[in-house]
Amino acid sequence: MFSAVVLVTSLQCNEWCGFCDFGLDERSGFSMSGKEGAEYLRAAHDLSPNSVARRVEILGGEPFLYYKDLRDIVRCASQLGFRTEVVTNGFWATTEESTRRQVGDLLDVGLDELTLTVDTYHLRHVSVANIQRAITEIRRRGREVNIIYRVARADALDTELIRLPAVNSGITAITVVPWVPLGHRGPDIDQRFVCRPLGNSSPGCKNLFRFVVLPGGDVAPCVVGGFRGLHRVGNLNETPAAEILTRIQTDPLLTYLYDQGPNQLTSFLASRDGTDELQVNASTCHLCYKVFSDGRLSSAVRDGLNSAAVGVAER
Amino acid sequence: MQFLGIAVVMNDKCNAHCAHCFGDYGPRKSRLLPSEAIRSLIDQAKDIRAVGREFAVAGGEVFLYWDRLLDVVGYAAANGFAPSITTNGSWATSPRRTERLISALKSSGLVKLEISVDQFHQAFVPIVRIKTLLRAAKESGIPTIMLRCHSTKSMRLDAALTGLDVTDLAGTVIVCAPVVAMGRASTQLPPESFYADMDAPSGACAEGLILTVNVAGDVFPCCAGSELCPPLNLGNLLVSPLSEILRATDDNFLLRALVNAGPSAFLPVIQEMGVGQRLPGRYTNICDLCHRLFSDAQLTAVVSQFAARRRREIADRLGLEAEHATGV
Repeated sequence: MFSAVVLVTSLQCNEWCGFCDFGLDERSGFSMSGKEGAEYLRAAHDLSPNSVARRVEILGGEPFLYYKDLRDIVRCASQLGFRTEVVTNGFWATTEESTRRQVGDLLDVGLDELTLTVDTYHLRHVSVANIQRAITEIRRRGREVNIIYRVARADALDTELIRLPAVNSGITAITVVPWVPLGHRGPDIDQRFVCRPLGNSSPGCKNLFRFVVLPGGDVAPCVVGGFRGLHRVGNLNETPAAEILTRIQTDPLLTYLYDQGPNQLTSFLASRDGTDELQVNASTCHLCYKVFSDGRLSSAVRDGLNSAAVGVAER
Repeated sequence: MQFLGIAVVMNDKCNAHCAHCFGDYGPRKSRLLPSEAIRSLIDQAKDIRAVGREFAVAGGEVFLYWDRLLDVVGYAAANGFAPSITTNGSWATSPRRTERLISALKSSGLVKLEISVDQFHQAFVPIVRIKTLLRAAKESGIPTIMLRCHSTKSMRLDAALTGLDVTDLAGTVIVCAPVVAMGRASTQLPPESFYADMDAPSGACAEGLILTVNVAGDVFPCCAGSELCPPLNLGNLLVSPLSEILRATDDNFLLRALVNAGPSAFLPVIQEMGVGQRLPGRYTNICDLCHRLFSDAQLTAVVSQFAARRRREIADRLGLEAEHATGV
């Protein structure tokens, strides 16, 4: 059911990006110690691999802010047999020597993939030379590098970045993701963000569902749901992982989203509630956020699911 | 040996004739992998656990054979595979036509669309057709839309993406990969244009293998150049059952050493045997090194002898007859 375990090891970030979906900066939130991370991983490892794939994605905030904890968590994940990915903005790759040392340490304890978040906003805080150094070092060690590039309507892919020899000389996957205007409302959203009508067809949230664990142990079935508190289903410090998993698997709303995605909620809510603010979105996560951060719409969907009005009965 | 899935080269005819094409495809080619062979491949593979669920259809340009393409995608999806296709987008001449064809593929079960976008392809395909195709693909709800860009030192990603804006690119994955000096690229592009910065590229491909069937039905372990290396030919689908071809890989010590240890594991023995001068010393990546080892008969012979010796040593240690040491 879940394609990975996600550990959000820190809600703190050394950057403050104007369009950040989660509003994180250097003052925000708290972090997960290496010991806590290891406990959460062991709990997730007890679940069947058919329920949660043996893959860990480590996110922040910025995970490298707490490097020692990060290294302990990667080591534990690797020892448990998880394939391990860390997502970072690359602020730490300031010299070849420090890059070699930090990347080398992580690879030595079992890191498999590094993903760099790079875009117009992050590049105001992190030099493109850092990105070159990080990619070069990871690739020199025969591992994979990915780039996540977030865009708003006024942006372009940064030419300096996509000219980098490191980007052109190896296999580099750049995932271009529209910024999701979480918490932004108003008539001009589709002018500032890359929004479009999503249509009714959706592959569902199957590919987006993860076993997301936040600092403090809260669990959610997806990253947006975790950060924004929409679909939190339990806490690993209070409830066994297996019980939390059962809650997700038996929750009518979450199973509906897993199978169908939120796209059909647009027409359902338009007919039932008369709302017309849901037509144009940056992504399915944007639509989901708009529906489930609004108590009235959220209740209407849950009522609809209870009465099978949004098509859950036939499943 | 475990494969992520299957890649089939359905046809070698292409309406473009790109200088970097490692398959040497083009307008004057005309071979087709028979539909019955592809259906038979799907029928055989669906029950084999060693073959994953990815099913990539590539060419040539696959849209030149539309009915066949639609049939293959639908048959693969109906049998539990996740079909993907690769196209140059030349056929996206109008929004209406593009929406119709993409919608038909989506309805047949297509889960990934890969579009070739780079300066080599754009010499033949106007970028406006790529914009039309991207718009239709996003509206259809195809889960993964990938732009595949090949680069050299003079044909870079930034120039390839000129003409596409963030509205076009949002929601896509851009995969940039260096052109490797193999196939047509090795004869038509200047040697200094290739990125070749690694002296002994580390890494292996055991987790990235995809069973590749070329237009003649020959089967290879990957789609990144092994098709150009006769020693890596695993068998022919038109002659042998897939199960038999896969069973033979269990006993192929050379192949297993290659995919698990990586091609750089053979470099010391190449030097030791005094044939190191046949290699350039600098490589683009492991695929480049692998291709150089297995497209050169003398190097292949050296590597094969080494593998056979290692196998005998291991078999001796285990007290087995080498020829009976299946799986060693």
